[in-house]
Amino acid sequence: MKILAVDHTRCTGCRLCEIACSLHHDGVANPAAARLAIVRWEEEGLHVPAVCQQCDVAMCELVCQPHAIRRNPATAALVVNYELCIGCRMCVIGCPYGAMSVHPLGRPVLKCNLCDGEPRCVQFCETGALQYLEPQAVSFAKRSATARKLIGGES
Amino acid sequence: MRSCGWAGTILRVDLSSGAIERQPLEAGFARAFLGGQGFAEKLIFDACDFSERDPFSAKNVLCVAPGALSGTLTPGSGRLTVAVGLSPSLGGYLDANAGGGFASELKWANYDAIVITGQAPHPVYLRIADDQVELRDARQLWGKRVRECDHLLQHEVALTQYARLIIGPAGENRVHGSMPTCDLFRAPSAGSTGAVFGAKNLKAIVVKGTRGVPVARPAEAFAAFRAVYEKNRAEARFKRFGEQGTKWLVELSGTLTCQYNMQVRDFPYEHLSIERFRKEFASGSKACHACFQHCDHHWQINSGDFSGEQGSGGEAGTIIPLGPMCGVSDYATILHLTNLVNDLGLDSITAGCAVATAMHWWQEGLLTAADTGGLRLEWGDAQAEEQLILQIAERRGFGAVLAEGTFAAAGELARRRGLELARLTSLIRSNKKRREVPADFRPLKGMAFSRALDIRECDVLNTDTLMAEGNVDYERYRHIGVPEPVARQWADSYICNPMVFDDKSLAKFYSDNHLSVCNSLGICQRFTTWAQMRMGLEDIARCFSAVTGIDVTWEDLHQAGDRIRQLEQAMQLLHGFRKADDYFPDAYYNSPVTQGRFEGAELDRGEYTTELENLYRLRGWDKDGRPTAAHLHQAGLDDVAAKLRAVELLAP
Ligand code: SF4
Ligand code: SF4
Repeated sequence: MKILAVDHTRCTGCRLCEIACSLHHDGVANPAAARLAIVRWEEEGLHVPAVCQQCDVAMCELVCQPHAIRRNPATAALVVNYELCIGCRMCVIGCPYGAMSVHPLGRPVLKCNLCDGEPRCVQFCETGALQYLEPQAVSFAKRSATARKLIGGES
Repeated sequence: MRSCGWAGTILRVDLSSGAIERQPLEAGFARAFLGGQGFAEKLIFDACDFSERDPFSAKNVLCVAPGALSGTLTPGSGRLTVAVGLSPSLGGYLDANAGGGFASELKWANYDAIVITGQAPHPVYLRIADDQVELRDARQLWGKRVRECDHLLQHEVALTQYARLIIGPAGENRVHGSMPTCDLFRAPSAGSTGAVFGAKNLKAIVVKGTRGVPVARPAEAFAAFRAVYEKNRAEARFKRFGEQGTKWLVELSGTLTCQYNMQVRDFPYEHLSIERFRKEFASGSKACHACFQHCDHHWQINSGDFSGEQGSGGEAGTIIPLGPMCGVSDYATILHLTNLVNDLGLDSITAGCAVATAMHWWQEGLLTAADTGGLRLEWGDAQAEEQLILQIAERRGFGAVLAEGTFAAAGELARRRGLELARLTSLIRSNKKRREVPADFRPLKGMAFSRALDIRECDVLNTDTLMAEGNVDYERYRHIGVPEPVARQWADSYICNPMVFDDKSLAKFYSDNHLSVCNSLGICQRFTTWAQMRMGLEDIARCFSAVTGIDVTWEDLHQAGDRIRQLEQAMQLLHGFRKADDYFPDAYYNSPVTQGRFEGAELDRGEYTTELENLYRLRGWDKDGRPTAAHLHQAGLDDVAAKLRAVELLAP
């Protein structure tokens, strides 16, 4: 099962991922309606994608009283069922990463559902700050860089 | 009008009364002028009192406009137009253009333009959060540099969510070359628009938007994006711009700048190599909104006097004027000065040209310690450069004289010292419109032509004949809207030889229309032919159609580009510019370059006039540059024709 991997050092802050996300889900170009967010600190030149981790023990799922958030077995994504959602926004408060948000215009809460296994944000990320990878691949790049350093090469 | 692509609202702010009004965007206006530059021009044309000659009058109109496609998925669509009815340094209408996140954010808040008139009774800033728009007290922010102001604003608004335009002391003090700094490091440089903010007592505009922009045909917009993405990524230059920005041009440009100061011939350009920047300073890539090319870099200085300092930006157009032109070759010092000018809200080209000119005067003995209050302006003295830049922004010492621009400073110096004015002005690189030009373009005919004619300084975002010059490439000519048979002809003609003047009027005509379209849609030049990328007018038309749901062809866009240039010319005529102003100063002609790679190259006045008149003809103007009623009618500009007729500026 693939996971959405984030490498914030590669993020340029272009925010195309946010637009791709909101355009795909709602037909509107609007970062406030995106299921992920890029936080930009201009002065430090830092851009950090805040993306749902689809946690194994997911706070959003646990705090949801009507059990509106369930795991899709095909993608392992935790998905909001808007038929059941009562709009209490406890999931937004519960998520430790700020990965969920309140929709500015329509649906009560917003949550990444991995676009049913084809995350659009990844398709629009030129630098590879966002990637959709098999779990073993996530740490591979870092492992090999560290290994190279250990044998005295450039990382 | 609530359609797709555009937000549907123009915001009008009268700083004198504090009145804030929303005006619905009309469909016909939107289609004719597109957005960005086109909107700014027409909104200013309608509101401008052309008899008012004081740029600091409350009557002067300021306009901030995102591109029609800003805020969407269109590649590189994050550019913002900042325009003024009467630019203090040009004396006419002027628009400048910046990247960053402001344009998109303003669209998401649902505004297609902000038109600002009047003068606030005390310093204020404009805060926009969707439909909450308010003028807030900025007295506590006045006098602060850009970053400090940014920090102070942080207490009032959560800045990570806001895009911001802030002026520094230079704008407040109405200094020549001041501009609002966009998102700390991006500059709509040229034209001293910052001074107009300052005169209006407007310290900043901050904006946050959560409304978004509806897109008519998302699937098509995705496909149009994908097509540009794949074409551009396949280009050799793609990787280079992403990794090196424009900094790789510094070494290349060395040969051109060498005339500014005599000693520059032996300048150690290798100190400013892109390899050095990447190895010693670069700490990460940065992009404007919706840009997958990320040409900007964050940098950090790790040793020496400026150790620990970090920042972004530092284009070739910043490094060259602040560095080599003033004889400074230490990279860390130049980056430090880049931060300084951004923080003061001073455009780096104007600031660098001012210091370089003063150093040149010093070297010739035309300027002495008695004039500068003891500041010794030896060529290559970075500390003196820093002091002088500070003095300019704060209007202290000799800086107060230079704060009026190099020409005014020459006049003042001539008066004070009893010197011959021409001796001083002959050392200023400029065109007749008195805009400093930071390089000697005599060898490159098309570039020279553009630099002489255009309202903006050395600015590839406003015109660029080089996209035709030097590219023996049929495809690229098509990209800027050159019709097929002409493009075929060009592909094997001398038009692509930058050293030959013939037919540069054609190159300029097509490239100007193309750039007006880009600037009106908010599309960055680095996606198109300028950077030898492959996003052509046809791709742009496809993005436009998908986003707005209005099907246009590249010919439609090309015509809109012409309309925008017609209007620009009309405004410059109304402001008093005439054919004579479309030239360089006389000394520039028929005098060969005396050293360097282009030794012997010169600009022939006769050739120049031929191309100038050809360009007028292509635009449907008479040989004095006056539009005809028929052509304006065809472009849908009857109101413009009427205004010109009333003051007898229409071609007979
Ligand atoms: S929304 Fe938050 S808590 Fe829920 S799965 Fe995603 S990251 Fe975990
Ligand atoms: S698309 Fe990639 S580089 Fe751009 S903001 Fe998103 S994560 Fe960062």
